[in-house]
Amino acid sequence: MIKYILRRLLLIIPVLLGAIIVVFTINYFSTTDPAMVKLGLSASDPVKLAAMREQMGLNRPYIVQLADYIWRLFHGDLGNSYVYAKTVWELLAGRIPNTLKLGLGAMVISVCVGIPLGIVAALHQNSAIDYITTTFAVIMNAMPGFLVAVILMLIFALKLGWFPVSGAEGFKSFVLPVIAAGIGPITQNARMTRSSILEVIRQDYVRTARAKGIAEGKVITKHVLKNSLIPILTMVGAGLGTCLAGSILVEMIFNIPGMGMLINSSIMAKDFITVQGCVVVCAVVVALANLLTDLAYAYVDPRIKAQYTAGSKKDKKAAEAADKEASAA
Amino acid sequence: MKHISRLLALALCLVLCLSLAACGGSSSSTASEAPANDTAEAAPAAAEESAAEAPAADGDLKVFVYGTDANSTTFDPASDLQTNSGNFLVHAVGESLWTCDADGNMTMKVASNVDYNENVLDITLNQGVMFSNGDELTAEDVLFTFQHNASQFRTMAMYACMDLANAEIADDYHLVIPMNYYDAALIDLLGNASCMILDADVAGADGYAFDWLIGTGPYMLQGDGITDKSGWEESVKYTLVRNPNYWGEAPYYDEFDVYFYSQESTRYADLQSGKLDAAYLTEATYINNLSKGAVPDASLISVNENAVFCFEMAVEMGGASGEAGEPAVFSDINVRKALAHCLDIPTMVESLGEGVYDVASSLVGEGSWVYEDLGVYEYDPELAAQYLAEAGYGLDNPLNVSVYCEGTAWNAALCEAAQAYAAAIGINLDLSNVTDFATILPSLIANQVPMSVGQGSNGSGNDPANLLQQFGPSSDNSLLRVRDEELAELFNAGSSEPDHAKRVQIYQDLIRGMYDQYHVIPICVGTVNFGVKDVHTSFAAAIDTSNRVDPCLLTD
Amino acid sequence: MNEVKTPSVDAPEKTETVRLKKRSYWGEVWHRLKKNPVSMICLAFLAVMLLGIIFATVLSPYDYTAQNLAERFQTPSAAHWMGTDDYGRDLLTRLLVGGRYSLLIAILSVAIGIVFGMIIGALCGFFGKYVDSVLMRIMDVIMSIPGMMLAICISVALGSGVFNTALALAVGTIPMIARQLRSSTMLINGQEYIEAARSFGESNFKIIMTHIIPNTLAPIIVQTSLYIGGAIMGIAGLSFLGLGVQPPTPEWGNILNNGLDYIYDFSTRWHVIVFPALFIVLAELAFNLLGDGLRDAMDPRMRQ
Repeated sequence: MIKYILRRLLLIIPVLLGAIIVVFTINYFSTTDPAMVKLGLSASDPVKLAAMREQMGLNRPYIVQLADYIWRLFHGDLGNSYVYAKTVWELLAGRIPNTLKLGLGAMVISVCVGIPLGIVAALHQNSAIDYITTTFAVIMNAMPGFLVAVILMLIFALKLGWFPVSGAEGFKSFVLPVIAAGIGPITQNARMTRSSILEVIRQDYVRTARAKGIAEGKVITKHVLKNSLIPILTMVGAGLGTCLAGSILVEMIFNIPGMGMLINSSIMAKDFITVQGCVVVCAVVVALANLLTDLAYAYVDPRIKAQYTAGSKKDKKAAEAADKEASAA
Repeated sequence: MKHISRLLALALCLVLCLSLAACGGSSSSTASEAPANDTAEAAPAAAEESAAEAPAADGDLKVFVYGTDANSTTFDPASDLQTNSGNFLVHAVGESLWTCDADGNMTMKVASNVDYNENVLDITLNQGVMFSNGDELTAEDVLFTFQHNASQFRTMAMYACMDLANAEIADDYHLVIPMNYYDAALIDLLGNASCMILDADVAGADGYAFDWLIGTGPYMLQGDGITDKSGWEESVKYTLVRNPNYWGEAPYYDEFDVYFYSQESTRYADLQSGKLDAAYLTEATYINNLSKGAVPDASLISVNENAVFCFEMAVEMGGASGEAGEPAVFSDINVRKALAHCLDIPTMVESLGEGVYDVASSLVGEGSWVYEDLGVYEYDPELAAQYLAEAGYGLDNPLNVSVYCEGTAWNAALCEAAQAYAAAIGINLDLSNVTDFATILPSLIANQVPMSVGQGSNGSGNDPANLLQQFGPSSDNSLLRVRDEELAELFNAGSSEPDHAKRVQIYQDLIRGMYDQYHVIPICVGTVNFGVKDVHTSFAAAIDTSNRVDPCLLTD
Repeated sequence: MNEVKTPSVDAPEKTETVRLKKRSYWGEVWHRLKKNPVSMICLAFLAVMLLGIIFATVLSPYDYTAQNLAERFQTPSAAHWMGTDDYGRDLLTRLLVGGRYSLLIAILSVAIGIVFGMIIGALCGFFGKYVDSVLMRIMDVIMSIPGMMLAICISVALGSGVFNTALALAVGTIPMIARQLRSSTMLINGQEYIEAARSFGESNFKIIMTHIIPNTLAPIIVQTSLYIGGAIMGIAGLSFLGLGVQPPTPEWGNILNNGLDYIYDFSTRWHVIVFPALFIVLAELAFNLLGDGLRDAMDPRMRQ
């Protein structure tokens, strides 16, 4: 297992490199000239513009610029902002905690609320609780995130005065933003959990287990939940990305100085190097989350673990055995 | 049965959600309906106020909390005057040599005397003026400030009249600058808060990137700017505290917390929630709402500016600044006339502006000393269609023009309304291309933008030379760059004429000439708006002659 | 309501057999879908909306760009069923025409996402090993960039427009669909009937097309409805940031976003918020519930 973790850790590096390349390429082929962004109206002086292009290394071929960016990145240098008189890292450092609080908070409530909701709904299929949960999930899933955020703010911050309207000072100011960013993932988790459990509950091995006279509670925990967790886990892993992205709009509405707000203002100002920096940081976070997902995935489903660790014939036999075990269970 | 209950549950939830949204919205807009909630809303504000008034645990600290627009990108006063937050900062932290009111009357500040004629600018400084870091202000600092401003693109042209290379520092408090040519607007420009005097030892140091600002004003950013930068939280707020070395009389407040809001709706909400004592407002809907009393304990303070919103049309395109380019669609006066007469400007301004804006009747506002009422171009679509037909276009042969509309809500609203009017006679205004400055920049530099909407002046002062600078031949970011010989001559004559009465005449001739040529279509007079808690009655008086808040003038 | 007890394919009644043979797989799905009133209501709603959207310019007496500044913010009346917006344009007309853009972009982006996601997912799950690790690493790369951020980046780089916006949103959905399909393919791949097909000497292409993809389609159908909903939401999000389709062109997201400016005037201008929100929410509801219905119809085991 340790060998597998190490291998997965090593695999993160190409993923991150790929993410950097993708974002760098998108930005590189954008029509705006960074030297012009940096100079503003002074770019009308062609000599100044040429000098700035030279200074920023924009005259070098694409591949050299890319390599240079990656090389600096591995030395911890994300470059200098085109717009602010600061390095990208200086801009980012203060904002990462806010976005992480928001993103992780949203993910935590999406798991802690969404999955139990889904389980309860599935286990009491067609009961009142199921209808209420499903309807709640369906309607909330159909509401645009920014609308939810605005409504939450109007009711709980302005009308009731329970929480502050804006800012990132203390626990209270994060409550509404976390709910706003988490509402989408909650409903998705609830829906996925419900349908996944319903699917598993009709599998033959569950029927067999029941027929064998195993207690209902044990059937649910041992057979149904364990087997239905797999697709839900993929959702949870992907959910962090959604939560981080969802935080862009939420940060803007609740005026939380996080990466989302930085990304938005940088895009508007065409400060692409800052956008790149933000995306790289997000990619690192999401890659780590995906790693954890995969580990959990392997832990839950022996078949997949077996496939990953497969190398020798011995492993393959183990995998087959695991396979049989799983389908027999 | 199962399906029916499912449907019922669905409908119930939908109704619940929408009604929640409805009461959330209506309760905050109709304040009088819900007195119980008002007390709840006002509670945090009241707590804040009482904390400010009554002796609190941390002494009797008077703190004013202000909500402003998005984050400044730099603290350079020469390039960051446009943002409201930057403005507030230079007023509090900096001081200019003197200040000028709308009529050009001077009040000395850092300088004790000035002598200005076509040959020389002779400045004598007060002794004992201290920067917040303890340095004394000398002639060297003043010269450095001028040199810095002259090197910055936005202010470059305005400082070009001074021959800074041959400036002479007679002694520590005496600066003599020979003039390249006489510029009547210079005194007004140097009296603007953006011309605050910088500390040459700090700002002139290598690698200083204007991420901190030190001046001689009554306030300073909290911290020393070297190891302690606690007064500046990137994109959150800045904190101003008293400058211990201030040479003048100390103003009322002990501290200012200035918060940044990228979304105006959130800023408005925080005025309601009581977090803010005052908020800067730009969008008509919030301004109108506030004026109707939607926030129970706050009211609107609105001031008209002297700069005017207008549609600018490029008479020629291409060619670098100062060179001739190729004729543009608007080089034909009939096209300009057609556009001017097809827009129902009074209706646009009154309805879209929700009563916030006044229709412009000149290229400058009523507060300017060159203002005379020239009226608006008459709304006459038939006449407009006739002009357009003369230019060779019409409904069956439409003219396509792309418009640059910088992202403010008001600019966008004007463009969208104009689009419908223009389409009715056969001019297709394409608004889809550009929404931000960075994208338009290359086209602007290459002089390839045919039309734009925006406020004429760059806010540098009240002198007509500054108010009209955008349209003049020397402006580098204007679309217009008037090539009309006669008008260009008037532009130059206006700024180099020392006699006040003659200047009035020249500028009035110039504005009338531009009106006759349909060079720009004036729309409405710009306004500056603030939502202010009612307890701060001095706020209206704290707005200076260039329509910016001067925090030093607040007294309650 | 449930007279026909889940006509399972394995053991149909005799009378059913004749009919079943006449019906194709999709015919059978349709037959079962018809029995679900929620799905049928959704389907009817979507059909009506689609007709309204398609024939908006014919049905409505108003031009969606024609402004009348004297009639701003009129509340719903006989002349303007949903009132007028901030430029005095008929809101219903704009919402119907806006639906063309919203739905077009959403469907286009999901179509792009599904086609690529399905191919990649099936390849990964079926071949495993190197194909799997290479393709999945590429998917991981895209997955590691949060979808909305990727969409923003692409949308800024490509500029606004229908296809660009669709593409910007599609790229983020590809890996999700691919992952989903990969895991279900991996589960199916070990099943006996694939082994059997292999032993008959069927080509890999044929196995993927005839066994893998149809058998993994059910979760994708559920996903499709979710993704169309997600795409409508994504477009609205981009509109909120000022990207996507630009204001003079109507689109649900930017109509709603525009309306939200007037949220503090809710008592008099509620219609510019409520109706666009209703259009978005109802369209999403319809897509989601229809998706659920389809899933149930395609997988008879799901019904009790």
